[in-house]
Amino acid sequence: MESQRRQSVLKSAPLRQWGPCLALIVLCIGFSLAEPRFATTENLRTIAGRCAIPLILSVGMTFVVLQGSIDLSIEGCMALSSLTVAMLVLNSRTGFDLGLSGLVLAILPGMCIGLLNGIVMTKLRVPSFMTTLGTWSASLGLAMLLSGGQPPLIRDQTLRAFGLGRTGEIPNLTIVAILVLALGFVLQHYTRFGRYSMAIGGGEDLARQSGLPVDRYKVLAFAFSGFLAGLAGVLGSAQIGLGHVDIGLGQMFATVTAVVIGGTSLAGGRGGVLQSAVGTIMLAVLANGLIFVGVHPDVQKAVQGAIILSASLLATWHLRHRLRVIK
Amino acid sequence: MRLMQRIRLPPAIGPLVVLLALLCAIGAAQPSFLSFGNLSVLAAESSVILLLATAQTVVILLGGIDLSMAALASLASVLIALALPWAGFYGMIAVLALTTFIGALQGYVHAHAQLPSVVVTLAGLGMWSGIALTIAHTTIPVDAGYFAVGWLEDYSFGIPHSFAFAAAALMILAAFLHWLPLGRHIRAIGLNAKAAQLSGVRMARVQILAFTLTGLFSGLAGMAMVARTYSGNPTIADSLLLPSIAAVLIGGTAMTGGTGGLGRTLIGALIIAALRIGIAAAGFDPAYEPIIYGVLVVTAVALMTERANAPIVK
Amino acid sequence: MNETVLRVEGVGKRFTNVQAIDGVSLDIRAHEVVGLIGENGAGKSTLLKILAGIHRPDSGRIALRGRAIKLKSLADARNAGIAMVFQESSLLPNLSVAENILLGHEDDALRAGFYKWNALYGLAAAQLDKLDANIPPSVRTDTLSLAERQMVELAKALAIEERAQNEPVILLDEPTALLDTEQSDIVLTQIERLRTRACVMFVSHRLDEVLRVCDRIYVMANGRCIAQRERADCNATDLQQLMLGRQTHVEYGKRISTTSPTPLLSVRALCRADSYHAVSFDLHAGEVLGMAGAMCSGRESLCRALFGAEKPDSGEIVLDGHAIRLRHPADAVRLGIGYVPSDRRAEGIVSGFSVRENMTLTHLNELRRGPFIDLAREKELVGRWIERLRIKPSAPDTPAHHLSGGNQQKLVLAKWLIARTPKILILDRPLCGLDVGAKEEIIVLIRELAKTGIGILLIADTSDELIALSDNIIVMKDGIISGRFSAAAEKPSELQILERMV
Repeated sequence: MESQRRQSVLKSAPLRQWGPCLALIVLCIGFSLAEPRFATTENLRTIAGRCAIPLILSVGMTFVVLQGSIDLSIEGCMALSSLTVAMLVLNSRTGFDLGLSGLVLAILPGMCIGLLNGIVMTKLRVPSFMTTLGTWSASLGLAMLLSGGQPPLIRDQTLRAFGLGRTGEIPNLTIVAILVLALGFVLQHYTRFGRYSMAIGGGEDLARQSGLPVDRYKVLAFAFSGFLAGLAGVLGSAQIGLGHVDIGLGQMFATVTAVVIGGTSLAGGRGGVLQSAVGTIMLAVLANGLIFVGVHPDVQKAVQGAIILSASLLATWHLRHRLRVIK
Repeated sequence: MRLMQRIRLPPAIGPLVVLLALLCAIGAAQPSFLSFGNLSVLAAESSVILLLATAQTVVILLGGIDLSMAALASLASVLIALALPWAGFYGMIAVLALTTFIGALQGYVHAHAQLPSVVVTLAGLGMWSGIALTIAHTTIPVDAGYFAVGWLEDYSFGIPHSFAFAAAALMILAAFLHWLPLGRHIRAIGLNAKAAQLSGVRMARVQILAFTLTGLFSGLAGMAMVARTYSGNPTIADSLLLPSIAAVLIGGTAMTGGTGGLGRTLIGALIIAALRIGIAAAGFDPAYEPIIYGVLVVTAVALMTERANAPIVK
Repeated sequence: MNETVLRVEGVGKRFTNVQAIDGVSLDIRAHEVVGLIGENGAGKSTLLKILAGIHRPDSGRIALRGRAIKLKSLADARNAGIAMVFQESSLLPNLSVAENILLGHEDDALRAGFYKWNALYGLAAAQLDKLDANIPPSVRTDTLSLAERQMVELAKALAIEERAQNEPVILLDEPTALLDTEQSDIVLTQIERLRTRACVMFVSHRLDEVLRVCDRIYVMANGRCIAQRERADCNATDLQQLMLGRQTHVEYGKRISTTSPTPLLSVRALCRADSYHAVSFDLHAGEVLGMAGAMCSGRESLCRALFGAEKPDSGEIVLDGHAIRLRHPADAVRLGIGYVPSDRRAEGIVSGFSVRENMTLTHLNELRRGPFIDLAREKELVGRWIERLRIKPSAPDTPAHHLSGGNQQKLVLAKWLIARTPKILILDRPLCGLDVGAKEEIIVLIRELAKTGIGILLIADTSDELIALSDNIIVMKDGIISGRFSAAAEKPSELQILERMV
């Protein structure tokens, strides 16, 4: 019966839905006014380029968060895939030259970590934050072993050209990101995976009672997140030209922030891929603009933390009641 | 030790056996390792993790978690390194007061806004780390005033002060948990928060207190790091988050809350320290450490989780 | 006479030490609405859940259209053509109406794994049309009103029609419980119309509704099906008589009133939206005030408000002449109010704690020497109370979850009595789930406590318990007090109470 009275709050959905977009527009306008260099094509292209990898990561994270879980291991997946690709295509360390198949194979480690996350979580009943905290550490360690102190350099010129180049006006990586975004959108709105993930986030016990194969979709969400993190790692390596353990440094936090600020609640059950994309773009604009204004990039992490906190507060404030148990 | 006798469940024996087995294995591989001098170093090595794990135990007993402790410890190290030269001992106390306050704040938000501890402390992780990085981009050496923390690095009767300090803090807290009503309240909340509340336990107050403790101990950990490295650094403690959580979990405290305790965390911290030194002694690549921590943490939780207690796992 | 669709023979189900239903036999025939009525705890909900596949019966046999069936899950039952509409919504709040109606069976609206939304909406609309419900299939379920959600639940139940070869069996568990008169009317009309395409079993505590829509009515009491009536052959009074069933074996003995004249607790015009309204009564020291009421009468919510576990919207609570505000159960504890919840296992005891730790949890502060727990005194007091209440096993370090139901109940009561005598004790169904011997022990205990001057507010499930234990009785129905009885005057009959309840 409590929930009845809360319905009226949920009905203010329009504000909640369009809030992030409005905020993004306000930000853009604000920065353009404060700094003329912001609104140039050159700068916008830079922002588009910077968005690419975060966008890809945000799609994967969205499905996990929609279900009410979290994936802290994406940096480790990125690192593993980054080193794998740097050792499978033409490179300075090993004799492989697998080209495109090397690229595809390199995404597998990321996906395997994701699968592992999902299986451990559903079969061993370990909460997602703990599972992914553990696999984050383990996969980073594995990546460090592979790297062995001297990062392998990528000598495959096609790959490097792809990573740095543009098609028309848009950076290649951004095109990949847009394709991934489209895939994510279709999955979310037109497949069981997307709809059931939403159901799981909104009421897992109900979903189970109704006979939905909840565990299957949880594993799928984590595998998808790991897959996309692997892809991001591969593309990142293409961009910087080597395989590096720190390729994903800071991305976990940024991705969680982007997802939350876009309107996908960490409690699960609301939000989506497009909303997360808006959040990602907002963060990229914020980062870009702040540099122009002269703010140190390290402040970003603190700002992201504050954003996660405020957004979560706003999202669940109305659910508080006297003896509610939250741990 | 009286603490050990308070441990009720059979699983408590397990970690102790693991510790002894580890020490034996290392001793067999490198007999020189088990000298008193080496063990002292082992103890000193584990003091920072022990400090972090001590307060983390309280939070985990409640059924929550604090992901921000390491970042707060790093921030504390930076602030202490800055404060020591001109404010000496009192500057350090002020920093400890600040971290305690920050912990209380996190607890307040968690309890009154009813946000999960994961979310609040994840946000905190970002904020304190970001602030630390903004204040100090690199290491800050302590030029003057080191004496205020230097005593931690001394040895008496072969025992490092840092370890003695951490162990003493643990035992004092353990005594409090055993003899104060608060200890029972914490366990009651961990086992069955609804029943605890309906018995008159004020969950919000207990939660705030638990996170105040983590704030204090994060500060103490930062202090210990400054003592060891003669400097403050904005990311120095970051890599210690997982090992400190691992120490609590492999010691045998259940993540679901209610069962476990500080005595077990002591054993867990020693196991972690033994692992670290064991890896180095055996000549393995140091990259194996994070892999082992990751596997350990997940295994520990998987083994300790009572299936019935956690029907919905997110 | 229509053909029998669902036949239940000798079905029984036991939960730990309570026999919830015992040897129940009934049948549901094609194109009829069968009513199932009974007091709280009579076993109606359990029976429905067995038919819906949620619980497995310990004994007996269920036959669908002549063939014996064994249902292992909700999904199993639905596949067999039996669908249940739940008391608490089983709808997923953040999915659309269409998705909820077709949950798990979207296949016809999928192409190569991708949703064809228009097709899905069309399929859902077909189900909603059967009920003439004006609900757009594309809206999110959590934006609907309660009555609308009930309709969607009905549509969801009807959706199995297309999948099953035969007409479905629809089980309705108190579908109108949370609805107001207007909304109930809508739902009831639909239930009447369901007759043409399904057979229905309808559980409700509102006899007027049951008499309106049902063709036949079964009456359950004490876990057994004790009577069957045709609608034409009975009225509300007859049904109430039947509901009271046989007397149980418990001998309650004579009551000697120990009430004092001044009120200890005064409740004035207490209101909480959707729970209770304008509730006022007095509780005196040494008085046992019984509260009768069926589901959704608001009495549980009221009691939780008196303990500080819920917040009333308006009204006043006066204790010992002072108006009090309870912000948290800890406030109530401080003021001397105790509460024994009905769900012992989930809310009464802390599993994992020992008997000793459970018993002292509430009043730990009274057992201190300085800031520390006085372990010696604790041990002594705990031992004393274990003996006094005859809690078995008597070792204080026994894990509490190893105790039997009756002993757990004694433990929960001891928690409120140890170290500090309460002024008021609120007991929510203290005899629930206990065997006869344990019930007797608790009843004696309650009487003793009243004699010592404690004011007791008692919620009981059966009217005979209430009558035997209470000095005064308040009956609540749908949130308001519908009747007051004083035992001092003349003991009310169970019938009198029941008619106020339903």
